[in-house]
Amino acid sequence: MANATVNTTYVGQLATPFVAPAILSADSIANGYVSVLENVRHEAVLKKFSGGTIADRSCTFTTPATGMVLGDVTLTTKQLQVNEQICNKDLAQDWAAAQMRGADASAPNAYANFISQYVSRIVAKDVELNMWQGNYDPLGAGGTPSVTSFNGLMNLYAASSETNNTDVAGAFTALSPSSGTDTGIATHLIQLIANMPSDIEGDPDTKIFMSRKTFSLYYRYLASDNNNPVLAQEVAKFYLGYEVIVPAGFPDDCLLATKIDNIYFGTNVLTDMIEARILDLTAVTGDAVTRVAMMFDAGCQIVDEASAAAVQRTS
Amino acid sequence: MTLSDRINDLFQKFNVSLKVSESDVAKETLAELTLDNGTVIYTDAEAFSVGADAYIINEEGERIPLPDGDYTIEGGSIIGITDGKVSTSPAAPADTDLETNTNMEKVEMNEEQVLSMLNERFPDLGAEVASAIAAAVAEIYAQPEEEVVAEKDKEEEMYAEDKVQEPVAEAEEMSAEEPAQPDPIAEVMEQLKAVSAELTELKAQAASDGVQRQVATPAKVEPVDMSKLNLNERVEALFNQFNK
Repeated sequence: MANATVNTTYVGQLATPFVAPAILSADSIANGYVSVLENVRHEAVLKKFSGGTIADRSCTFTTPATGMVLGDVTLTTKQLQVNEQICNKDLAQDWAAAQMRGADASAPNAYANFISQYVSRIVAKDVELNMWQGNYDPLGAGGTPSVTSFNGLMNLYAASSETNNTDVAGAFTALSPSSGTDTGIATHLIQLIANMPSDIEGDPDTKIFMSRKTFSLYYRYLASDNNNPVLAQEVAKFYLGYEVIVPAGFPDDCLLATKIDNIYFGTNVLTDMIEARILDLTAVTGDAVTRVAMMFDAGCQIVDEASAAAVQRTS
Repeated sequence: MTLSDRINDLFQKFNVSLKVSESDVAKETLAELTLDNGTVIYTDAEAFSVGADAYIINEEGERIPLPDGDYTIEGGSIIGITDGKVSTSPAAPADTDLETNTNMEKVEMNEEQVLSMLNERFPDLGAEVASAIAAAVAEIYAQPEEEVVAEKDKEEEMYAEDKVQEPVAEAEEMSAEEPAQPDPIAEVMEQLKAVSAELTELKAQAASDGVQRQVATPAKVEPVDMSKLNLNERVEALFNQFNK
């Protein structure tokens, strides 16, 4: 077995190759489903303005009745850490096997890099989940969030005024619309469009976000409704002209309609405030394990909740 | 060692005593002329008439025939030599055209020149006869003083006019033959303008490039399109991208 003794601490830019994959390879970040700020040092101010009217020209300076309002929201990141312990026996064999695949193998030639990438894949999934449903109660109240690392976008929306929100009961289904209060995905989509504010209605940049499970329900509905599964594959990408986006970490039984530039994810991965440690305890405690520690900040924010619409399950 | 010395050595060697007298040799050459370059030419004849041998005598007493050509003699006359013999007598002009010869310039010949020439060419003539002939010839060819002065003045005027006319003629020839020369002042002005422009440009430049300072800039990270990659590929791509 290859000598896998590692004991290295990376700080700042040196840690970027180890920490960045853990965050930026998240599904929503890689596909551009959210706006990303990669160099946030604890806080970032997101500007928003509304109002402002065009009036007839005159010689006097007269402010309109409803003038332009410049507001801002703050994206505050949370300090996070990753502590993973990996058995050298298992992972070293995987690494050696990957090396044996030949020159085309994409496995890194350093054991420390191999371990960091292994951990990064796990962290990336966690970041993806927390980005959308961090501290989010899937039942509105009485439920238990699945991930609690930092507040996700749906948590932030639920904590806001929810201006354009519809609460529904029960899990989503693939039933065709019937009574208008059924649990069918088609009914919920109709409700979502009905809640959509005029700011984003009809805008081609407006997206409908749903989970993969919800999208599956939608796909099944289209397939059964059109009696054509093949046609449904293409049809399911859009709903009434709005593109349907399916982030890997979106919570089930809820829908969100907004623009991508209205939802932000912030992190300090490209600053000098990150850290990565890869420690082989074989020579320290005798345990044939390697500990990986990463330190970074992450957080989310919605710029204007009134520019979004949602359908959420509350019971 | 001259030729005579060498011969004497040979005679002594073989017990033969002979003496060579240069004056006797000189007497055998009846006539001689001095060229304008100082070289003395001789002939066996009484005069350098057409057909007479013409030669020079080197230091060793050897007779060397003159090469073919025309030679100028002191006094201005020309003697022509062909195959070592006189082809044109110095008394006759180089141009044998009688018409031109009739327009000979009057030359002033004094008695001494005539007497020396007679003694040279006709040594057997006798002193009294030679003197008489010289006096007669001198009287015939002597020019009045007035004509001499006038002729000198005329020569000087002609020389002065030629001097003035030559530059004018040269200028006219140059203007006719060569194209108009560029105005030097215009050239200088153009050069001055070019220099001024260059100086203005140089003034606008910094005296030096300044202190070179290397600013540490972070490596430029090129974005990777990860939308078509799965999670494993994204992790590896990002690691490689930031590990450069």
